Amino acid sequence: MDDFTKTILLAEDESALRDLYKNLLVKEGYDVTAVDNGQAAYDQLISRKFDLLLLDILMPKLSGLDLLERLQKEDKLGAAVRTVMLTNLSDDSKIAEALKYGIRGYMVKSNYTPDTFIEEVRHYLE
Amino acid sequence: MDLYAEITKKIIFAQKAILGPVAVSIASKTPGLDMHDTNHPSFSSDPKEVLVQLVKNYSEFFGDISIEVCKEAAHDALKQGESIDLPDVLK
Amino acid sequence: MSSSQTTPKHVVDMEDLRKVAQSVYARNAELVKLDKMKDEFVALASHELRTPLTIVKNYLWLALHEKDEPLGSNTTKYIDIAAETVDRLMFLVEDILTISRIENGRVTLAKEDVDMVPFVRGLVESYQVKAQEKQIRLSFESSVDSQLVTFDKNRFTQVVINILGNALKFTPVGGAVRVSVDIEDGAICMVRVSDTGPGVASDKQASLFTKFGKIDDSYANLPNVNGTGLGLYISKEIMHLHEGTLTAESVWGKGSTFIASLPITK
Repeated sequence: MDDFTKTILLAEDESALRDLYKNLLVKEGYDVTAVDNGQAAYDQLISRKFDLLLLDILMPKLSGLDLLERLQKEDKLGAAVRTVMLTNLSDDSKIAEALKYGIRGYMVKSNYTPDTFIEEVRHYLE
Repeated sequence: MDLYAEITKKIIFAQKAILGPVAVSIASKTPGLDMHDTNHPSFSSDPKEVLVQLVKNYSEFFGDISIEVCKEAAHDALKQGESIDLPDVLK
Repeated sequence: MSSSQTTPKHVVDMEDLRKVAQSVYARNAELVKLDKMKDEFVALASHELRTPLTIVKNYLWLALHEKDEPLGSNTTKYIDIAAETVDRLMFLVEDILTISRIENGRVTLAKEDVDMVPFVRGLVESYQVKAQEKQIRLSFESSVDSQLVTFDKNRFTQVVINILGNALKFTPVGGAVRVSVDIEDGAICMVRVSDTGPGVASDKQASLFTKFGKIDDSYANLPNVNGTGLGLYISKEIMHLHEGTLTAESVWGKGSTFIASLPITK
């Protein structure tokens, strides 16, 4: 992979969705690392730099919000600027909380089909 | 609103869900508690003592379950990490 | 043995009253708890349903757009119908979640001062294409050029879309839908949507705004009528939150007018 390939960390615990998103993103030419829990996401984040983080809000071991909190505590919140939360929540309070950490944005999974999903990711990577 | 007022308000609202408006009039008979604005209760004496009396007002007629309701409401009012000196009856 | 024992003035004494009070209190406390659990269950279930629905929606889309293994025309039709149905399911889940949040008091309005005239005009314009598909004449008029009203744009849009969508759905080909903005007494803003659909029989009007209150007779003979029956209930609740109202005037066979009324400022 050359220097121009964008790297994406995808953290999504629902396996069918994780596979779907990963395949879509790989097809687009992105270098994708996919994990299924918050702790694994954290381990990836402290060892590598990613161009974009797609983080599910609800995840086992460490939720998306708790991950952001930990990153903030350890002063690694530089990661937040490249974070887009994935959610199916209609719970505005969790989203509002995530926004406070300075994330780039959020995507409500149920609103997207594969084509609009890729379009949105592309837009976040510009 | 300070925590004691928040706790008081939550207790009264929880009792209101079960008792109806009578819960508010019972609360207003608590010495040291000003219920002119039901959304912002205020104290004219030690809040801890007022809470003890408030709980007593309810439990006198409605028994132990009403104390449980008060306890739950009090803990509800305390968000994560916030702690306060609660009277024993609410611990 | 005294024969002049006084009979108590009241058959039920303080001790009895206290026992009754405690038992009723206990019952009520239990009911309040169960009510809360029911709400939490509805919210959780609705939320849980969205993930598998999202998965189905995405994979159906992939099946329809798979370039390497294109589907035959019959299969495409079947999957199209399935995909449309999943969308309907998602709207249903969305509606249930909205209701549960409204009933829990967990909906707060984000109110702004908005000029109602261009606001409604814009919404009407966005439905012109749909209206033209059925050759329905969709018109907008306003008794004032502009009127600032305080309301939650997102939520009120839901209401207008709901009643406008219904009007277009139930008006037959070649009919007409009229949308108007009027001010009453300088204090109330009314958005009216009138259609030339079948209308609603007077004895069925009461159930219009209830949960799942679909009216079978009027709708049974119309093609492609679907919907959860929750839309009007939610719209009415949203109007209530705004301290306004949502009402309907209708004559069976002659069409309906739905009126969303809002206080101008609050």
